[in-house]
Amino acid sequence: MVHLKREERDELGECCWSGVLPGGVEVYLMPKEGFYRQSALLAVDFGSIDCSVKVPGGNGWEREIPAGTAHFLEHLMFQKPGGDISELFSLLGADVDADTSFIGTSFFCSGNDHLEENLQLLLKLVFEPHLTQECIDREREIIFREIQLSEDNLEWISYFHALETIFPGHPLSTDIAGNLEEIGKIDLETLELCYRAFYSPPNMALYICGDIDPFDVAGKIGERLQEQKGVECYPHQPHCRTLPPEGEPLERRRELPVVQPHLTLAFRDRRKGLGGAELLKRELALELLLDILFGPGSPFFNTYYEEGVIDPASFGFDVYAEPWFTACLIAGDVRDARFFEKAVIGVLHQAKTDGLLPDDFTRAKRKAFGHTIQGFDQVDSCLHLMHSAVSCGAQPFDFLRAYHGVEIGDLEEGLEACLNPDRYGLSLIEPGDG
Amino acid sequence: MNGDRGDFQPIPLRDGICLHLNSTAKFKTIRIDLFLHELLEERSNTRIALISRLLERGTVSLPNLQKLHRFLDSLFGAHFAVDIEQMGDRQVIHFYLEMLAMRFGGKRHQDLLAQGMGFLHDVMRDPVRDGDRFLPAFLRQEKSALETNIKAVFNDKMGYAQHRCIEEMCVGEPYALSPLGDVGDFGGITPENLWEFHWDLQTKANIDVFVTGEVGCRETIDCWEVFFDWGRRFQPSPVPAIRPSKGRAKRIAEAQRVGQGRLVMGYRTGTGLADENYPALALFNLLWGGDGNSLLFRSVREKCGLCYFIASWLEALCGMMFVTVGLEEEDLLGVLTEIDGQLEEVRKERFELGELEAAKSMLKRRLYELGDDREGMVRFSLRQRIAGQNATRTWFCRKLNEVTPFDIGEIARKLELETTFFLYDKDAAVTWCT
Repeated sequence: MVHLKREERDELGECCWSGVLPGGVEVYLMPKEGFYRQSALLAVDFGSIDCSVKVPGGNGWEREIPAGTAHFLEHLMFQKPGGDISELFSLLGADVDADTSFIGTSFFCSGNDHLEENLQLLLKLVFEPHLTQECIDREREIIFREIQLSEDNLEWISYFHALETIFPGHPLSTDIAGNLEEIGKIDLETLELCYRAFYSPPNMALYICGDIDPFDVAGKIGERLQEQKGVECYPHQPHCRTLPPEGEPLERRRELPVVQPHLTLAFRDRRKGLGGAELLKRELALELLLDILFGPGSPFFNTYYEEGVIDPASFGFDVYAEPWFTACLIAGDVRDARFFEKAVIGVLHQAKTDGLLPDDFTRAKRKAFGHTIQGFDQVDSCLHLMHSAVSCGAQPFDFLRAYHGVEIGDLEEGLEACLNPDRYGLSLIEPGDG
Repeated sequence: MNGDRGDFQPIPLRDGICLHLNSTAKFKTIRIDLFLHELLEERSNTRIALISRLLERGTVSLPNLQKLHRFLDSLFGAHFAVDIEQMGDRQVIHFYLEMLAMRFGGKRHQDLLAQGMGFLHDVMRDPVRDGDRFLPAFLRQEKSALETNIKAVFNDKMGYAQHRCIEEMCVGEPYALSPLGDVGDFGGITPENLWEFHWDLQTKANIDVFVTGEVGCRETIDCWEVFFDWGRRFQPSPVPAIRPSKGRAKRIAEAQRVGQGRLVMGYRTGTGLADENYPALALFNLLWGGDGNSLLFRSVREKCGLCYFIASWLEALCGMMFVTVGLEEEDLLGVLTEIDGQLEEVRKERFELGELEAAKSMLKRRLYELGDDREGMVRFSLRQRIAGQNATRTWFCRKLNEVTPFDIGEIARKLELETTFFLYDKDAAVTWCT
């Protein structure tokens, strides 16, 4: 019997159940009545920024692992003695996919019936590794090609270049899949080591959403977990994740075969150590700030759209808030990179001098409220919101708490510590032959 | 399972306009999708593309982006866009408005449907103007932004290769024309003649309006009639005819700076969306290359390791099918041989019955799940309407159940490869005769 705790939000019309499954896997369930789709996501706390692993022995020692290892392992988990496990999902009419990010690996499946069988397969996928030299060699070829393919992706490249300007030399500035050299170093031993260190139940969380009975689903998955055979993992250890000390942000330029220059400005948040609901509030405060200053309702957008300085199809901004790092990026295709840079930085300077208008704050907040509610409208988006909150150390409905708690002073503080016009990195992709 | 729950109910309105209503409290927003569609034609395609952009710029009462977006923000961040799209031979202007449902917004959020309809009316019928013409400055800006958009196709290498394949394959057919238009037409377009074209278009184009959300039927019709009442001389467009193959297989290769080659193969299927054997074609596509676990994926990528990416997709309204591949230049011949070999296998009906059954359950699942996905449901219904088909999803599922391996073989035997387009790196050695 799995004990579940209920949290309900009337203003949202949703409720969420959470508990801990045998072995220590956290579980979050959100019933969505009337929906056909039933989806599940199993998240493992092992991402591309994990570049070393603690292995027991003596007093415990730390070993470096090549870039791209988490992603490599994610690919290999699909290989089972009978072939690719996707085929078994397919026979149930279900989809399966996986994704590696900076801070985690997630395995995702969805169907509209056979939830129990799909969940069983998901456990098999994650708990029954079949790592062989033959699979590793073949998968390495596939990942080589995946990396080459992303070398033609302008936005992907400029994203990593921009992160490099504020986190130089850190895994955050390397493609999540690694690079050709590092991939070559990944061997069977590294992969087995990482599996045993990171794929342990207390390092995992399971999210399920759809028209489900949470007790029934949690009970059955709990029983399955108890029967589930697996590899013995090392005792759970805290991650060794660090960021490079703050230095002077850099400039990075590169030529690629594109039609227009593409500029990205990168801002690193100097406020450190945030987690949980505080981190979600920080993320929201930065989002509101960017929306007020650069969003489609801002004088900046209106003026520079009319003057042809910004290209609406490519112009955009994003906040990346994770427990280990927070950063903002502002990017777009530009005709005159220097002019665009000055325009953006000018707006930030002006906001620092003049302060923000309460009316703008109210408007941006109202909009954010609507978007937060809408975020819970689809099965998969609910799943990803739960995962996103929990991986920040918060609870699924803390997005709403962040909304109720954010104040104009939080935005002003964000302007000082993160979106500071005197400290930013710059990445420019220029048309050329590469 | 009731597959029809969530289907749109068509309600003919005045002036040849059709309202499609899905009255449901399942979602947290009310969504209005208004489509204005016409056969793609040279010169008018550029005009329609420019008009769609100008209509997004403002109305007489909200005359610039800043005012327009602040209005949308006040509706809890309503989403609004006017997009240009292509559906088969049709060019489509898609007006999209999504607003937080009334139950979330408190007292001031009650006359939402009327506010939304009124806003869309103003966008279409009362755009910002200078007497009897569009604002010359806005037209100048939009020509420039559209030009950037047209050229940006070059940045996305797979999209570019796809575009070139279609251009070569469908010479002289509406499908080959870009819904974004042609920069060469800009010279002849003035604020005055475009204004006149806009009004003419509104009078004669096909218009379909889809409304989903917590709204009643009578309320929606009344609301529409308050705002939209204009004398139209509308003639419905003919149902598209499926063009047969031109017989000759064409090969084109083009060199650029790319990290990896891109291959696009265009086939004629001889089968359209409204045809009796369309369910067999849809299943063939899924089985052959339309899914992550398809025959092509398993043979070309997994078994032979010849590519990272391979997929097929259907342009059902025109009876065409495309295969797209990301590959190393040196593997081109191997990939082509393997694709042909796999097609031959299906022609001889050499595939597992279980695979066909899995494809059936996958496709049925996707049809059911349209009930959760409003955007998907709207597009599915509009495509059906353009094809002159009015089958329900339940009917379609029944037809899928009846498809036999012989039917799949028949589809494969009818498939004719017409154009093969290859984009490769200019430093790669490619020996392939075009």
